[in-house]
Amino acid sequence: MSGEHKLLRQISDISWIKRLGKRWDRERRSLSFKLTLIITGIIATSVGTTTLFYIDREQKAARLELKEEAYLLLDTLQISLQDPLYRLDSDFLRDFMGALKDNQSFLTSGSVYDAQGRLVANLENDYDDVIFSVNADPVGQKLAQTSSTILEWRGNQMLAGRSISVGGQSFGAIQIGLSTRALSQKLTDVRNRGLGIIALSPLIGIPLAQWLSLFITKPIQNLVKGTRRLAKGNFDELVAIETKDELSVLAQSFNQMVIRLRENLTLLETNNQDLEKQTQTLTRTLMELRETQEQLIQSEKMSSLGQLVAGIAHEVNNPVNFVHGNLQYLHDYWGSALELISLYEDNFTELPPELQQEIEDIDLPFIQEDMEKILNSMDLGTLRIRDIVLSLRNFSRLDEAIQKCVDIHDGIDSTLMILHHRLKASSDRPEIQLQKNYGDLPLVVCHPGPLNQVFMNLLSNAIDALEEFSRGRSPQDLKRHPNTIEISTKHCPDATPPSVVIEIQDNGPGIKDGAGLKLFDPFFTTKPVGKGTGLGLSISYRIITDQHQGKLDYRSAPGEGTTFVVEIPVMGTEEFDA
Amino acid sequence: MNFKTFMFALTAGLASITVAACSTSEQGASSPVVDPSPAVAAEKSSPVAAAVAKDPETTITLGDITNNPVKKIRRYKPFADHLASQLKATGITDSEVKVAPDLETMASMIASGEIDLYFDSPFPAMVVSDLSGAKPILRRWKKGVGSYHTIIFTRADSDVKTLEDLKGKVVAFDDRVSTSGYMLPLAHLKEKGFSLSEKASAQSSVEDETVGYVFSKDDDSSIEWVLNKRVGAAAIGSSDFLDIPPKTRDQLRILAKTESVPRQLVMVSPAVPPEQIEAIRKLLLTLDKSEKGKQLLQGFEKTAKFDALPKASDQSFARMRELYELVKEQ
Repeated sequence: MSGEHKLLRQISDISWIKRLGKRWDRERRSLSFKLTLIITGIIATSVGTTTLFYIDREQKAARLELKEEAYLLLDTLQISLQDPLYRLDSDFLRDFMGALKDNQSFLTSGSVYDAQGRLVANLENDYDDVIFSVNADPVGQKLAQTSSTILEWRGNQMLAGRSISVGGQSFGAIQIGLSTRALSQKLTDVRNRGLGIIALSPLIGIPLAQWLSLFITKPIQNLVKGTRRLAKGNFDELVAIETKDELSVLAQSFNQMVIRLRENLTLLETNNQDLEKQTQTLTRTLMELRETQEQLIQSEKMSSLGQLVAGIAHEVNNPVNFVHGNLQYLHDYWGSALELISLYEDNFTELPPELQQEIEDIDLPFIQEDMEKILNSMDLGTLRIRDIVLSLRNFSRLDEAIQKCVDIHDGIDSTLMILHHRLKASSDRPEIQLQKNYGDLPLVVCHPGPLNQVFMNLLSNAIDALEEFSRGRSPQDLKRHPNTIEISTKHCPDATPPSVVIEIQDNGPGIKDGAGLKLFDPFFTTKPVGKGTGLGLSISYRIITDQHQGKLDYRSAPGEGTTFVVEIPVMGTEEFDA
Repeated sequence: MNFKTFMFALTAGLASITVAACSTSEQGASSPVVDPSPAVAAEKSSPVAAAVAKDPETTITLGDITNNPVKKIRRYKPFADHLASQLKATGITDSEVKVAPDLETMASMIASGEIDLYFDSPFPAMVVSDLSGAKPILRRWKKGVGSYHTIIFTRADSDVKTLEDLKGKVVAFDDRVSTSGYMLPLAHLKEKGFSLSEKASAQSSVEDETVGYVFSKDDDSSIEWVLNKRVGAAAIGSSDFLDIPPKTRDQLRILAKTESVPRQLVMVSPAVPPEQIEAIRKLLLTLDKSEKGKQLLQGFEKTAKFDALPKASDQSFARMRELYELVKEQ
């Protein structure tokens, strides 16, 4: 590979590393994963470095050992061969070296040189051109002339040689070659073991790293979980870290923070609840104020209306009484006039023509006949005016705050009298059928005016509902199923407390689902905008429940009409009887 | 093999070789002059003989004189086993190799019947024969030669050009009992009129008119001493001279060659019955006739064959005795 290519490759490698680094930065990894990776890397690097160091140390130790063995062997050979070498006892030297030949796996070569450096014997005792040489061997010459041991690593052997001399006089030299195969094999084994350990290190390293990372990150994860719980608003669980290190201190601080937060939050919630209660109270008070205001307004209106009606009734009642009271006299007088006319006719057969003409002109017989009818009609009319006035006086009892012992049926009938014109047929619908199922009710101590207002509200709502319901129906349908309001009363002496129950039932559309819950809420109305104030039922509910300690409820289902049930306790009427 | 094992082997080998060297020293010290004495030989025989006693009637025992008994026994034993296996008809069922440190001991062991067969060059064979009554029955072609002589040589670059130049110098001989390394060259030089004087070492001073000599104890050492210029010349057997690589031989100068003598003789103990001697003789003569026999002979120190003693063996022995007398005078 050329230098340029190498450079490009290196740049490419660097870019690759940078890309990897950026990707590493981009991707979100858990701390445990990162720690596992780092610790695994550290373990692998440590094992690798240790193995390399071990191999190097083993190599040095093995070389040192081989060197020491060479020295020991040279010492032994020197002791053994120095005398034979001095004698140049080649037979001994060759026998000796020949004896060593069997150990060639360890001793790869061995040579004995005389003082001139000639080879005298070697391991092979090879006579051809080696032994019995006239000329000196360069190695032998060098060894014979040196004063120290010469070591040389060559191929698969270590050559060690030294001069054999006594008192500065060299007798010759010896050189041995020790096989380094065992050393190489040993180093190869060590290297292979090292590589094996390096290869296996991830198997041990990864679980160890995972364990270590878990050991480190578990408290952090607990802390993270605690933080998440805290973020979700769970202040009940604290972080438990028993490591007794900085993390446990951090966890303790965290827990203290959680406890303080929890206390503050509790305080805040309490304050919030108090504030909410106060708000509710204020709201309720405001509602009550508005209701009271409305009631006052209504009461004032009704009072004014009552006074007006009472005044009108009183004022109308007197003239009507005059008319009604004098009608009898008028009837009597008319009877006397008729008897007189009859006497005239009986006594005077021949009437003057002018009189006869006048009789004919005024059609006296018709007058005689019609006058009776007129008088009867006037009698009926004045009676009816008197009833109306009576009803107006009954209804105008709204302003009466005191309780009275009254007949409930009178209140109902007075209300019906007022609403009589609404029950009659109109252009949009036929007349609303009214069914009264009055029971035998005792007199009831109550506030008659407000109670009549309740009946007015309930009956008006029933009429409104039936009118609204009639708009979508055909005349035939209206004929088959006429609009009906049924008023039922009954006495429940065995109830607790004994009470009278008034049910006002219509066969209108019924109350829609969901509306029932808010039915008695102030300002809630299902009527079109501008038609209802939403206060009728609310006021009625307060009148029944607060003023009379009774119950106001309803039964309704879509398409099956609505029945309002008024339940009023029957209290003792003794004091009122008196 | 690890270092410890190696060192153990080395120590054992060293001990073995050292013992051999010590034996050599003892031999040299005890036999400055051959003075055969059966009584003395008998006294010396026992410590060196084989450790386990075998029935001499059914065992054929081969013997040799050496400083390296293990090596000898290793070389001789297969040959001895073969002889025993082939001599069952004569009542031989077993074989043994025994080594003696010197001539006297060998003679004693032969005389006592401890050793049946003994192989050596003419000079020691003659001495042993005189001492023990052993008789030569065949010639042995050791190292492939039937006869040999001594070569006195020096380095070609030496200032010794002739035997005359050896005066005042030291010549290396092999051993006191060596035929080619002592008897023949010593007798040769003496017959040439040289005055010889044994020296304690190669560095010893030598009178101008005298040829000094030392024993190197080995032919190879003699060669080395010449090459090393430790001695002026050396005398070795012709077959050993031929072992010198040609390249080195070319750089040597031959100063003299002695007369030839049989390479080795097969000596038989007088205790061996005649029918066994005849069986042994016949067996040895036929060994080189088969491949298996040749291989056996080759392992037996490269012996080419055994043959009958030359017709002039009597004359040879007489000449040998003459030379022996010359040496004995030395």
